Amino acid sequence: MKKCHITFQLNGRTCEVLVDPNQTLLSMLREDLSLTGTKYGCGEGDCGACTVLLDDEPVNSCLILAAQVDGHKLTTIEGLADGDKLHPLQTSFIDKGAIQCGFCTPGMILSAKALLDEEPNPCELDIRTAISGNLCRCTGYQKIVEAVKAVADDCQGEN
Amino acid sequence: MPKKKFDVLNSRAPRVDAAIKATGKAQYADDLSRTGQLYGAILQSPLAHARILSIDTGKAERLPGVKAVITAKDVGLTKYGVSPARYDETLFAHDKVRYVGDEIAAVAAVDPATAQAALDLIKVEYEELPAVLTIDEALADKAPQLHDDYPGNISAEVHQEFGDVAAAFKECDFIHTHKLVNKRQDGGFIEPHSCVAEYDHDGRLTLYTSTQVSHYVQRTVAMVTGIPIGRVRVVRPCVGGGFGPKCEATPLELSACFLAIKTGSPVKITYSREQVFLHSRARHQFYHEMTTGFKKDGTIMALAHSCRLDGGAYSSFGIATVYYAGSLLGAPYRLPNMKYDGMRVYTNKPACGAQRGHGGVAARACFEQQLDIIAEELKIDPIELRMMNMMETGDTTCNALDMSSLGMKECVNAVKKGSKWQKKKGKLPDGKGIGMACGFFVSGAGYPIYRSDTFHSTAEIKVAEDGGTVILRSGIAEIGQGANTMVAMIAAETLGIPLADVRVDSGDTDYSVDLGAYSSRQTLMSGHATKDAAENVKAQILAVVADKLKMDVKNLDIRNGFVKVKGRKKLDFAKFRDYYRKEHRGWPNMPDGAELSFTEAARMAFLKKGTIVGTGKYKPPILGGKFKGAAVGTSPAYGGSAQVVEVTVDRQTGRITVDDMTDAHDCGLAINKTMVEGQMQGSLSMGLGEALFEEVKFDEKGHLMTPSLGEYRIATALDMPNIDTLIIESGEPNGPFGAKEVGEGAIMPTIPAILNAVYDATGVRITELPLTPERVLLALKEAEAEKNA
Amino acid sequence: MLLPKFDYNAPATLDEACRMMAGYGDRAKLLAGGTDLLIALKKKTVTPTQVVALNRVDEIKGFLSDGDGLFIGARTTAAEIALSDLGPAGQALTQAASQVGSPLIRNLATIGGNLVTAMPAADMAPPLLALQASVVLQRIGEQREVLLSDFFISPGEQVMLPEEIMSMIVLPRLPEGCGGAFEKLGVRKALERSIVSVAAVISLADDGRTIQGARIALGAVAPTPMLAQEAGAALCGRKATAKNFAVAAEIAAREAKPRGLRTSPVYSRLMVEQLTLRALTRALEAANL
Repeated sequence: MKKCHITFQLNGRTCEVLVDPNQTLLSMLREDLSLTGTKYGCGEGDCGACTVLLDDEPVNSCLILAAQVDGHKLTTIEGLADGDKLHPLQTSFIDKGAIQCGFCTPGMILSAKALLDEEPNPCELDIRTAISGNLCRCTGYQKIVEAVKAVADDCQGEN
Repeated sequence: MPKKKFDVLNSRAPRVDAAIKATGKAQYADDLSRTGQLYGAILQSPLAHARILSIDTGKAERLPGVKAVITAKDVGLTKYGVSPARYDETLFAHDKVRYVGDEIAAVAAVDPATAQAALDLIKVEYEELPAVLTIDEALADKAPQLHDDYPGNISAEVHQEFGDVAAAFKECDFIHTHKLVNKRQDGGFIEPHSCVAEYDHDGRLTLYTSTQVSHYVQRTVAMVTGIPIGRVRVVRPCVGGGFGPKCEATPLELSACFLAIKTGSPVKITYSREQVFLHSRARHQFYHEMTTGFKKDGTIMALAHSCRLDGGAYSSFGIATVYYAGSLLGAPYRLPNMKYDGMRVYTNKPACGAQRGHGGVAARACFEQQLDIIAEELKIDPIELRMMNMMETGDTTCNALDMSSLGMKECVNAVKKGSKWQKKKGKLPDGKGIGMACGFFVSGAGYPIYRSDTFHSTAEIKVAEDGGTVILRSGIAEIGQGANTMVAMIAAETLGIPLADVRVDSGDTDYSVDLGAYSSRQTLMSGHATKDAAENVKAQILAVVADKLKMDVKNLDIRNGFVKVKGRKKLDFAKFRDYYRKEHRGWPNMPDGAELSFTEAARMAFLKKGTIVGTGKYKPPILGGKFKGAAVGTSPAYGGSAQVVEVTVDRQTGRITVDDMTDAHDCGLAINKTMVEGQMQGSLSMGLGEALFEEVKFDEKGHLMTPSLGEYRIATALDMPNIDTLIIESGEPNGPFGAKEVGEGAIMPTIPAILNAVYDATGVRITELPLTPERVLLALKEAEAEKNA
Repeated sequence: MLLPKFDYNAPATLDEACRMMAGYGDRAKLLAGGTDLLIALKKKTVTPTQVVALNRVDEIKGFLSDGDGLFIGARTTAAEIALSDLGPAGQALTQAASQVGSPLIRNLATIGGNLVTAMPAADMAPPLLALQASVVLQRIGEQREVLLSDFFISPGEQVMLPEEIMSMIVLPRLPEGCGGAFEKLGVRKALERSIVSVAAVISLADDGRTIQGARIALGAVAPTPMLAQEAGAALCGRKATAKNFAVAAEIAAREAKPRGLRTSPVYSRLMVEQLTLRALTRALEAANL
């Protein structure tokens, strides 16, 4: 196996890594870059715990080879806060009780971010659809939906 | 109970661990790495039942990068399990394997790929044995036997009678029999089990593991490895959900420990999702049959109940499960006579154990469905029938469960009103239905799993020398339900300081004894221990203040971070403040108000006594009856819940949509309202999943057919409706500040409420779960055919 | 869930990819969206020594239409198709694309991949069959166009040679007055494989009532996605009425060849009938808009 040298934008910075060709993006993030906010939940795209934004679109990082992100832009949960300043979705998830065990939270927040970046004023069905690939066993989703809606409403209020 | 004003409790404070979880900084077991860490992997049986003729690990051991290979030969045959009365597992199978997935060997290697490759090199010769995959096969004459020690494949049997059921039936106007069968479930937590074990040169073992029960894991690890318990430390990092299946020591943990001991290096092992399903230890499949006798005025007189549980290859929590399946029907309705015959049967499948609503969920589904049948027979509104028979605070069940607080009637009234029941019941168009059900659960098991007078929870609170921070150290299990926040809030309320000034370190067996997160016990039990520790600290500090400032301690209190004085006498602390300010020259945030701050008071106490540490403890009083099995079901308090569910049934496809849910739960007192709602909403989504989608399936050779979260379907965001969550606070005299459970009781009514709503929508009773489109449609077709015949 | 060992190749053009595939033959696997291939690799059901990733080959991504019809690049994702406007008949395809897996999967999964894996329940296959799609298969210096109705052989198997790459899907231009719809039945509302899926495309005469042509395709009820040809034929020349739709739906149910793997054949056929009825009704609505 020939290692692959890849260069990509990771959370706003250029990142160069030597990866195994048979390594998933999830494994590179967790093991090579110690970005453990992206979680392994199932390895088959069934749970969404490994969600990252690839060129701003949410995807399952367990179904992508690390080598494939060469030349692309990647955002993980670690790249969301601006220094000490949390992203409004992070604040809202905290305030609305949208977090319990927290294992789905990074993926959930990233799916929600992709939605709000695309559609700042989503209806409830839009929100539920946007997070329908992210399983949560703790919350019943209600407070997650409320947290996303609250951020959308705040944005509307500002405009 | 009059409403007490709280400063911290009964609020919507954000969780203490929310920020680290929202930013991805929270560390779960698989996120941990230790220097020089090796990776473990476990060899599991491909056959459901087979004799092991030989195991050859030679090739695996010689593979470069492999550091250790262990089998039963290396780890011994110490039997363990959950209940000491049924220690029926060994870490590795040595004579035979009992299910597809039974553990045979484990390896540690420099990377996961090498560990996997090593497994492929271990040669095991088997002699395949006939397997029993169903209860009927297991109980048949001359059936293949799983365990020599438990003949007939019977893992446990229960026979109980309270009152005189036969005599009561004679007085009944109607007797009705009803059956229900659910399917084997999985916990469906998103974080697979994972752990890292380390063994140091002084013979100390540390295990970081994704568990609900650090204490029991510590005991089992000590017993199986033979290391003195004082040298075994179990640390629980963040846990990504548990719901029951993380309630016992696992082969994963024990393998990691043995591999760490053998190699001297830290060893990490993480289950794949398939291995999570193979480990199982989740909800059993229950076959319930209930015969209920009642009078024409609606009074329930007696219940004769039998239940068979498909247990899988080992006992796990099953002894408790088979008891709970009977005992939890003792309430919340007045039921003077109750007979229960339960049997748990071994089969060649992964072992079932405990899952949210332990033992009681399928039983509740069967019984609450039957109540609706009875109500219809008597032409009484199902809510009325329930209210007529409902227990109240102060009642005791026929099986000696004491309803020290019971807000059931309030729950029922709340959902009746909240759902607009009267406008809807019987008035919805065909295909739409409304249904209700109630539920009931313990607030902690009255007894530990091993026979002991141990405290169920202890806690330690230490005040930092400068008094600015209070550190609460506890063995409790924060698994997502909010235990850390709960104890932090109780500590803050009790001490009279802001929540932000309390830091919780938890889940470490070095900190305290706590039995863990199961049986919905922590709010009541760990809450009590925390309160006790906080009171101790507060008393110590106030005693010093009183002494120093020449006050009667009885007139002193702490609230909102300041020492308060009752009566006319003023606290003269000017000299101490001056001293404190000098001591902290150059520091920001110097105290300067009119009141003595907690920080100053704590400093005063430190200067007098050294580090202020307070400990607290809790164990329940002697509870329950004296009959065999009385321990299972007794609790210091009981939570209750009522739900109304509305559904749409697509009569052409059989597909059910849950449109609306209204849920009321009596949690005694909501320590944190947001978190109570979170437990209610989460319980309902698990109940909805079990009612509509969830089923672990096996093929005819005992292979798992649903090894993924694609095949095993838990609810997505699109499957869940919004829930109207109504908190009822009855004020539990045995709970800290009146609080009791919410974590499991809330799931109880969900399945029967859905079943009853489906009946309301279609006129058809379905008695097998889950309600897949196919099952529903075929039931509708069958009913139609019967009607036409 | 480790992957087998292989080398990674990322050609920049279709031509380069074809050359690689010609060189590697069946030692190589093509990687498009990866939502099926990565799982197959993890389960070791495929163990290629070479993986040829197409994610740099942008020439086979996106939409192009001319007088003859619409060309969809094989690497176009389900999400992109779901968001596209393909007209009243093409709705059958956009509706199917919007129900693939989950948003996360749809952002990766490609229309070509959905066909190449030849799964009986592939969401986008029935609408493409109903839309008379063909696929363009490319190898060095050679390309061939295969009707999708001739493409599938058995579960997981289709007519492609190891060195071939699917470059695009061709949808012939349909006459005015066409409408299409897709119906999927799953257990959950997301992350779901079809129990049964049905796509229907009908074309109406100028009177807006007479059916000139109808194509009904079924998913998950036979070893391959299939056309219910008799059901479609039964509607030709007839009026678009509920009664005639019911007759066609019944024929479609008979044409289905369910294997009884996930649901009983009885239920599968009932669902073919029901979903066909619904798809036809909605296709009519689309045609009349």
